[in-house]
Amino acid sequence: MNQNPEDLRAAGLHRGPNQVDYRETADLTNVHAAVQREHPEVMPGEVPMPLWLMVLCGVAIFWAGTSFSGGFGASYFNADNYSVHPGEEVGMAGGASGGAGAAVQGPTVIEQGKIYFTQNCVQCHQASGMGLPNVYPPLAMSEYINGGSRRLGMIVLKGLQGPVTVEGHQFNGAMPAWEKTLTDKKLAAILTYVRQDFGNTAGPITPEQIADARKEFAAQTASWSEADLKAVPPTAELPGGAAPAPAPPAGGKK
Amino acid sequence: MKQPFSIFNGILAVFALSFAVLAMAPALQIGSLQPVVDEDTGDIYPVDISGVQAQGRAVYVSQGCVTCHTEQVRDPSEGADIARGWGVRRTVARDYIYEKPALLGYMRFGPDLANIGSRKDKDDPDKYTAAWHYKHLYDPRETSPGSIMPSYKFLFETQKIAGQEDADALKFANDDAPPAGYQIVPGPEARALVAYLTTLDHSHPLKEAGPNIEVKTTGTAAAGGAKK
Amino acid sequence: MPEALSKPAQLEAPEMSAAEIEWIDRSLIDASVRTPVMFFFTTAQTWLLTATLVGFVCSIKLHWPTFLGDWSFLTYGRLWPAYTNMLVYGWGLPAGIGTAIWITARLCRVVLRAPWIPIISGIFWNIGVTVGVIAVLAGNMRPYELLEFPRQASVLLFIAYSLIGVWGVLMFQNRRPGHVYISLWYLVGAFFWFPWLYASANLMVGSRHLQGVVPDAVAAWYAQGLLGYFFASVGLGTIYYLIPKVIGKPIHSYNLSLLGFWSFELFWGLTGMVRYTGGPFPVWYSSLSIAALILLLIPVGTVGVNILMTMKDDSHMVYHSPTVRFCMYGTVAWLVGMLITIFGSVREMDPYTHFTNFSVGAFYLLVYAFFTMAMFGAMYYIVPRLVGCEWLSATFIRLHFWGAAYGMGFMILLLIIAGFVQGGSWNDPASYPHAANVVEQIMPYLIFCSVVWLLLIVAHFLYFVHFLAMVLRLGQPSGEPTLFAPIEEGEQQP
Repeated sequence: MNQNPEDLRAAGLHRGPNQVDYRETADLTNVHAAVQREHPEVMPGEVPMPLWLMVLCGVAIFWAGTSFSGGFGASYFNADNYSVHPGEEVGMAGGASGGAGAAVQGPTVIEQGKIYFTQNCVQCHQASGMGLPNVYPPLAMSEYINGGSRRLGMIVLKGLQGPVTVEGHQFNGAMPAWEKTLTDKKLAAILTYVRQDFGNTAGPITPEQIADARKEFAAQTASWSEADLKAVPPTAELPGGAAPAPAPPAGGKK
Repeated sequence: MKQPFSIFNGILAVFALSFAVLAMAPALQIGSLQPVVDEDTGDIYPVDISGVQAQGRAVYVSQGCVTCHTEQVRDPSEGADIARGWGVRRTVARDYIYEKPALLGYMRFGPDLANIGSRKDKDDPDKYTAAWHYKHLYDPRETSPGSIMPSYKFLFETQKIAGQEDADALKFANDDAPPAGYQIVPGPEARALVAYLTTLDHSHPLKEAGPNIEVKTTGTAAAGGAKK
Repeated sequence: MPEALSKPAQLEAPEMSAAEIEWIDRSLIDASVRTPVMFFFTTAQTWLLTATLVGFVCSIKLHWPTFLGDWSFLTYGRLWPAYTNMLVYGWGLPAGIGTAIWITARLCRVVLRAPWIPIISGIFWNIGVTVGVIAVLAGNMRPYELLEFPRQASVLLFIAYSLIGVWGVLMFQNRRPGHVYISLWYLVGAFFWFPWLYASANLMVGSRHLQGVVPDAVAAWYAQGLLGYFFASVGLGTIYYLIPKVIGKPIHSYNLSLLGFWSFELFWGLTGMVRYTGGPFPVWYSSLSIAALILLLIPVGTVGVNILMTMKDDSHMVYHSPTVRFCMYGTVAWLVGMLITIFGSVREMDPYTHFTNFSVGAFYLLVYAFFTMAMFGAMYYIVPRLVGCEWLSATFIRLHFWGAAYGMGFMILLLIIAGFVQGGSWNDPASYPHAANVVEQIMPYLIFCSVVWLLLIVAHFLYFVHFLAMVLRLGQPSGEPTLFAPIEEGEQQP
């Protein structure tokens, strides 16, 4: 639809001051009216920054600074407990709503002890703690388990070999030494568990006691024999003394 | 700023800073996390999934589930996720190290799914079992009235019953039920998806997440306080 | 093809005035950019209309989930990513690129060099978006916001973006010497930044070597970066160019322009992790991003003052010029959008806005109410200069404006309120124990949104038809611009 300006004017279809149909023509001097009426791009003014804007910037910087606290640690996931070592118990915030319950402890020593007992001891002493007649001594009501903790510690650290009488029954086997395989924590947990289960009623043993016992018996390289055990009074305790036996449980422990 | 060189430098520097801080720093700081091995019990967390469960993750992505569901539990100070029974603790970076991709999500029209594999409903023992998931996928409004989740009927097949009914065949009480002699069973994608959903459990305690919380609320209750 | 004009054209008629030489320059530039810019604009318009219809269906599905519910490719989980990607990559980026090409050519005062670059880019672009949308509907997608397109599509888009990025930098290097106008900083920045952003994000989220949540952090960096490095930059650059152009007055302050540009671009790129406040990341990521977001109050104040003071004596032009009206709406929307984003993301507010429709509302504020309206304003200015006739009907422009302004304005208001209701309900498990209870609370807002979508469909359809008329050169042949209302004697002509 390339119309001449004259025809447009004749038909009264022209409008505006330019009176030109500025669709593409070969003559560039009849350029687009739109282009003609444009304003040139002008340099921006030089105006000082208003004071209120500077104050706003200052406020923003201050606010931003205070909103970012704490360091860049990879283990800190909560904004409100930067001062708390992760893993430590923190007071549970109620949050937006819906209270959270109390924090629950990890597994108890006795629960742990039972797990390690199951992993290490049941092959011989059985899960019931009854052992195998003539082969493996029972733990239930054993004189070496109840009473003082020293003999028990000795046995479990260095092992026991040769004939031994437990609860009136003779056994002649070889219990391995556990000092190299299990940590103080695990040994203490196992012994604590054993001393209060299977009908036993003796007190707990701490990892520190096991650690001291290790040092005390460091010179002993071979397993003990029954004679060694008999040389120790039945009420003797491991270094660190005895902890009180737990009160008899109201219901059965698992 | 009349020099093009300095404009260019500035443009480059601004982008480089943003890239370094928000793209590179995470890759360096949390890009090589290892699973934790519990020294007491020997168990490892997290573990990778494979087989049909990993296929299920791909189905989750392909159906666009992230459009309405998230898989991240927030701390009680930041939202009521734990109070809702969606988890016993907040999720942390280590929870997702084997999830390719980690389907964190960005919108919640439906509940969070981070622990759907271990969630139990106190009032309804059938909820969140595989059978429940199949029914929910088939017709969400049947298990959850008022839900706006789309029906995924196309993930299921109508088959003629040959001999016995399939163990996973959907049981209907209404006119969704198939004609006599036919059963509606989950197709392979539905099975994979539900297998994947049952692996979603981020309740294993992690040091950096703080202690696990046992929530006593009405309605859905968190499954499992701290164990192991 | 005319050569680049490094100095005024040599003419046989030496008595041509400086103004006439300016006219000829402009015409030559316009003629040279006509094909690529109109190609981008036309394809962008088509995608906008398509996206609007798809967005409408998505909105219906939120309150009528069984609507068109039997087909896997129409489920909300696939339709929503298809819609957002169509809006951003089909409409937003091409519209921005088309506008940026024209403004860059005009500000560099050189005729378009290597026109094949933008055209090939546009072709790859549209193929890429089509492939991507089909892939998403078929289920082949990634689970990251605005990065859903699979590798097949993202490679095509990357090629397209890189071509345009190279072209933009090339134009800038070959520009006529002189003062570098502020819009050019924004546009050259966008040309340069976007390909890098897109490439690094796609490579990193698809990489086998990044474990766990790291790709999510990268995806958040990308999605936020897209809003700032491309949409805000091109939008602000466009507004900074067009408003002074139309009213004939300079930008209020050079210093404020400088401060606004650098503070925005510096801080915005650090805000990505506000998308994961409370998420499984070390808390300093979100703390840093929130701090950067607060610091963005500086460019908000600065750019706001700059543009509003520029318009102070000519605010009446909003009643006359479509370009000024759309661009001012965009400016106000940007200011409001930034403030809402900032205040909605601080730690005190985040529990109420996270994972809710609030983010959708904030997204629409920045991508639609700000960027898209600014692009509409730009198209109303640019298209007559490329097709040689004026817009046919002021009524159509008026209807388009009110439909878009009221439509999107209402939708944003609804979504933001719905977001707070949603967030409040999610945080109150005692009163709203199930997800369905929360949805019930926002249902009226969702239904109202669908009604508002109808308004948007009408507005976009009218605009599309009007635009097609211009493409077919069926517009007004006069030399007068199509205005909402004629300018009185004594007022400045636009």
